[in-house]
Amino acid sequence: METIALIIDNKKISCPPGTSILEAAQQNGIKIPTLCYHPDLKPFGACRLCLVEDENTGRLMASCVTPVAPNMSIRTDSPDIKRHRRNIVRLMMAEHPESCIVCNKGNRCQLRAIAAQLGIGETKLYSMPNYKPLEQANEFIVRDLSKCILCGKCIRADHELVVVGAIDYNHRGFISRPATVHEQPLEKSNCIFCGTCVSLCPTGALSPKTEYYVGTPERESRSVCGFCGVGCSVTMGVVGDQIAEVSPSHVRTSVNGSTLCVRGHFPHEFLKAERLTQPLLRKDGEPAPASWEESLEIVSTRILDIRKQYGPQSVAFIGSSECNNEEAYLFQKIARVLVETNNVDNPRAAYTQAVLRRIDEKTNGRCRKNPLARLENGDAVFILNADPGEMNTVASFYLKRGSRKGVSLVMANPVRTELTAFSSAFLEIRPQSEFELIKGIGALLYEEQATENGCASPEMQQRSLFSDTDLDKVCQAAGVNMDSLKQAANVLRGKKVSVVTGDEIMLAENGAETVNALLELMAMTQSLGKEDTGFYVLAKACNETGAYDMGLLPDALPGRQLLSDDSARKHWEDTWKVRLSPDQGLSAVRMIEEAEKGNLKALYILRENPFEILPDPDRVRKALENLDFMVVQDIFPGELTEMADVVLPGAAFFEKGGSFTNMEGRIQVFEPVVSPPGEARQDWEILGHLTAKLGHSEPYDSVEKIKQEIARVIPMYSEDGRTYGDWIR
Amino acid sequence: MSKIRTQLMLCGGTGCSATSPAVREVFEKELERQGLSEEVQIVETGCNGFCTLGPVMLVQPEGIFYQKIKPKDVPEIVEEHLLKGRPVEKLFYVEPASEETIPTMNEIPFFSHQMLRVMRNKGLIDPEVIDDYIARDGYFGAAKALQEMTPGQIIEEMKISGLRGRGGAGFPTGLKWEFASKSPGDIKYVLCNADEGDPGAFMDRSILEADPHAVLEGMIIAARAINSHKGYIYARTEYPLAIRRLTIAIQQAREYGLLGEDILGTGFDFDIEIYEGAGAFVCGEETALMRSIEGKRGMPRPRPPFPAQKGLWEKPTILNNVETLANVPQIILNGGEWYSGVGTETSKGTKVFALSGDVNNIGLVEVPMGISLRTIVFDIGGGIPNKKEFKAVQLGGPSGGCVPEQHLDIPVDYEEIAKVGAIMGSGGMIVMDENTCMVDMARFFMDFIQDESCGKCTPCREGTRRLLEILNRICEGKGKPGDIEDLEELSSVIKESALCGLGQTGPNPVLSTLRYFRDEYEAHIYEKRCPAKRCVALLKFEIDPDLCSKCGACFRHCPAEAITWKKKDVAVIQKDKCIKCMTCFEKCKFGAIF
Ligand SMILES: Cc1cc2nc3c(=O)[nH]c(=O)nc-3n(C[C@H](O)[C@H](O)[C@H](O)COP(=O)(O)O)c2cc1C
Ligand code: SF4
Ligand code: SF4
Ligand code: SF4
Ligand code: FES
Repeated sequence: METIALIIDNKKISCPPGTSILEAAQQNGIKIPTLCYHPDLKPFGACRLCLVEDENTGRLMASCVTPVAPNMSIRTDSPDIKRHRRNIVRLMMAEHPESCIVCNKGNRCQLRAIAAQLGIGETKLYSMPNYKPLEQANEFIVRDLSKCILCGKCIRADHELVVVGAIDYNHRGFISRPATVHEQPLEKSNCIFCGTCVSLCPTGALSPKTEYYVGTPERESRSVCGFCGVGCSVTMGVVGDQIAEVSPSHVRTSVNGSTLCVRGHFPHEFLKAERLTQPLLRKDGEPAPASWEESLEIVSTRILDIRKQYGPQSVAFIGSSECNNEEAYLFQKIARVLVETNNVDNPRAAYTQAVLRRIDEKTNGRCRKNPLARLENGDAVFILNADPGEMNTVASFYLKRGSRKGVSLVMANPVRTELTAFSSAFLEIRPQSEFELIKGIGALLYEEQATENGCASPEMQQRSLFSDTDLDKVCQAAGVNMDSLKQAANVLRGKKVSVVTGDEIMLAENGAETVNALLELMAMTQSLGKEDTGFYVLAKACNETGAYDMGLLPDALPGRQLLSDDSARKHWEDTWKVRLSPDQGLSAVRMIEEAEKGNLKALYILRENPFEILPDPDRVRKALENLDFMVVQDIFPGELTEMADVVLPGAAFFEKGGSFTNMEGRIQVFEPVVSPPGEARQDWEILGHLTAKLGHSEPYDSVEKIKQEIARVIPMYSEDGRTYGDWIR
Repeated sequence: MSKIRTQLMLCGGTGCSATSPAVREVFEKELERQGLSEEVQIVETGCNGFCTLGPVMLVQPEGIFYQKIKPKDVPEIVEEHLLKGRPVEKLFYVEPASEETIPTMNEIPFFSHQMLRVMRNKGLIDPEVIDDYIARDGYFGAAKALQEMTPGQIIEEMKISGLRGRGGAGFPTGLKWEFASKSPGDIKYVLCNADEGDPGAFMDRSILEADPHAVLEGMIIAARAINSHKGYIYARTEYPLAIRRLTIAIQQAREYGLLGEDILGTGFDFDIEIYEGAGAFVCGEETALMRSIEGKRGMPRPRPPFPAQKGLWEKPTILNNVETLANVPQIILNGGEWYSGVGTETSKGTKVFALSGDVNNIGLVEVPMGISLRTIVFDIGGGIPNKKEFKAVQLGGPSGGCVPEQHLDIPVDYEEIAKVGAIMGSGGMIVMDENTCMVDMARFFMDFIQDESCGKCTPCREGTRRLLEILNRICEGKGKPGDIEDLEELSSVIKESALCGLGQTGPNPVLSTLRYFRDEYEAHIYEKRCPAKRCVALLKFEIDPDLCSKCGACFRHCPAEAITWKKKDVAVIQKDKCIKCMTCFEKCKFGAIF
């Protein structure tokens, strides 16, 4: 490959053409101060702090925006450069309000850091503060633009990364500032409060609104956001044992880069909510504090007793798609191996997992890894009845960026969403008409293919799904007109197509057919299983994919293997050294029904709320009251914990170690940031203790141990195989 | 055959257009009344350049030049001159210095020292009639370029001509075109910069008003040279007349097959659109201008990539100034050699200046390169009014610098002007007399610059504002030791580290006034005195009894009745009544007030 040779600070360097001088220097360990540069943003050249000098020409230039050229001889710290840098920072400081002591940015302020580096104590210029009113009416972001140094990062983040367009420069010159249209407060603009601007702002001009503290958190640790299936990398700032703020961890390999969404960035409500801090045992009809030992003893003996008396089918386990992989694996293992029942489920993600299963079956597991980056760099994306902006906000950023870069979006949705404006074609379809619609689009593309190839090839003839479609009927069923249908097909014509959809397509009776049709569409456009396309299923909860992979289902074993598949079952029987019933266990709905009938006696609910996920709450309540024994392991108190016989306080995602598998199929490992409150414990630890009490010989005394078992026994997760996805730390 | 024997070339440029329509109306009536309508034709022309004397009119073919025509003068002109052949002497031009009356245009020094190439059609054609332009060899250059020349030959001819950009930077035009022609790509653009934001500059406006087709023709030739098919003229919204004339010109050129598809049957396609700019000064900067056409905020971006590689919509683009483009047709028609026959070693051809300030003849002048500044100010400009002393001339507007008396003999030449700390610029030329305070002048330009700074880069945004603050303080009598050093230090930072030309040249007025008039700064700071008596805060509003001639002029003009005076007595200002309006300073001919 072609390289360019140059000298930076007497060091011979070679790098590919197009590299900026700044990057070339950084790659070679030479530090140049910057304020407006950010690797995720397009180079801008505004602050002028990164000035360097070419000794050959004596020219000064901003290194962040100047590409390397052959035979340059760069000095990054000549006397003139230093003098200019110092003056630039002096100018910034002299315009800055004197409020460093009470500034939220604290020691992380880059202006302060650079001033210190350059040895600027006093500016020796009279101060010329540029007062702007403080804006803090909204819940999340405090804007103190008096402290703005106009690096433009917030504006560029808004335009380039999250593609919202809420802010831009206003006015000109000295009084110019980032502002919304008509300088409305943020909450009156189209700001989505993703807070990306806040995490990029080098000064205290933009800061998260927090009640707990001012200044620099005591320490920071990384975790993975647990509020949706994107699985953003976050850095959490801690004061005492309190999470004081969350920011993107700026790891370049992360899903989210420098972005986050409002839920992950500002989880105030979540952090403020009252927590369960102590095991509770029902004594004399009232929940009363108890010790862990006593509580777990009661859980194990009661479950074993009930199983003995009524058989394994009388005990059931409801887990959650918010459980991390280790918990999910252990939970289903307790059910299957120690209680010997397949009555285990994670009901919240049932539809999503149904879609995933369908895809898996149809593609023989070849479509499990769908990096979001392909949405930004591919050809075309077909969005079917899904609202990524709402459900998986950070994934929607990929789509919007893609659209700006020329990826064609075709959207078919019952309602307009934020993405409608980014779409080349939008079809406002009737609810539950997805199948018809795909047939329509497929037929239009199919006709073309068939005629192009003279007559239908054998391969084409096979794709009979689209071959004789009545387009008028399609239009009628979907409630769209022929022109817009044709327009949508035209946009997709000749392109590789990725699909984005959600669990709503399963609401239709022919939901499974819809998934098939989507796969057909991808196959016909030569888009299935390709390097640059993907089939994306939005995931509301953080570990919907992982819960499926871990076998937290009544009819599936870990590794997406069917319980009904004899050889698979045999494999797990050998692995676990037990006999597994081939009979599908109870789904959550059926569990409630059986409880109603009095057949189900004991129910262990981990991090799930049946009232929220099953239709008739009264019926659910009655059924649960009918149980002999109910264990609830959760983090928040509520109606369910009120009813439970035993309440086990668990940990929020940032209080424990483990791994999530996100909607891309990426496995991400995280460590606890803080300890759970009070006597609450990490959930794997609680389950680990229970396995011992239930008679498991090997103790699960570290999360690492569970992780290793998963990697060993689940092929998809095996570290040597690496067929699926690397475990990312 | 036409019966027309006389043409009245009445100036309809922006400077004259306040009264010229009224004059024209009376002419029409009078000609009708005298039965001359068939023989005498009234032609409304673009700016003639001699704006101080407007409305002006040239009677062709004799070349009699009338100035300051009022509607009531018209019957006399028609009766005496047009009917009886006796030109009206009282409307002739009078040379201010010699008080000599000069009847014909060619004899007036204002015109005789000029050399009209870009403005050769001014006052001679109706800019709204394409046939007028064609009659004066218009579009012959384009025809030659399209029919007889290869793009390479066009570029070669441009290089030989030595034409350099007239928009300020003086970059060789041929070279710019060559770069763009060599950039790979099917889509390329030709842009014309008609943003003209310098305060006091109106060269481009006048060219567009007087001879819009020359610019279109220049663009067609440029398009051919780089193989572009689409051009934009970025024009200020504040130039409605120019935009109207351009719109008409484009329409007519299309009708004549000179724009659009298959121009002159050569198979070459090119069309031009006008983009009306919102008027920020920085939008004249090339990268900001392109962003603005793209519909974004006009903010400069770093170069490289240069527009010749990645310009408008990331496509190879050339941007040229109005005057630059207006030079092109004649270069192609007469050859690069012809063009470079005039001028100095490095500066060829002519340059248009907008002469303004404290000078007798305010207006637009086109001079050959190499002519001395003194000739422009004193011969063409007619010197300083009111018998005042010349102090300096500001070249290049807010991005430029001042040239004091001792350098007035330097020739108009890019390099020579740069040597004395000014720039050729786009052609603003502001003459200042002895009563100008140079600190105040620098402050005026710095106020403009800091207000027009786009705000993107720190040195320009913060630095120019800071320079203004320091200058304000000095003018307000709050200057302190160290201020001059701060001005110099910050100016060097801004100059060397700002992103675009606006910031890089912004401190020039400060630096050049410091270079030649440092003593004035020092007087302000250390003696709290404004030598030119312009800075109100530094004036005492007292009368020096030794200088007072006891004439009472100040007493008579003071609007606040703050001056007491009796015949044969020294006047006295009562400070409690004085409103510091400066009227007395202007009225006192003896400099007695301080
Ligand atoms: C702040 C700023 C303002 C400018 N304004 C103008 C302008 O109004 N008209 C113009 O022709 N060039 C202007 N220029 C120069 C242009 O950037 C550019 O150099 C010029 O249009 C190129 O044409 P030329 O080579 O024909 O001179 C400006 C430059 C700067 C930095
Ligand atoms: S608010 Fe912060 S990020 Fe935005 S321009 Fe100002 S300093 Fe930069
Ligand atoms: S997109 Fe999902 S994972 Fe990312 S911050 Fe938002 S809630 Fe968390
Ligand atoms: S030099 Fe001034 S006008 Fe140019 S980019 Fe910087 S701030 Fe904007
Ligand atoms: S970091 Fe290069 S200009 Fe700001």
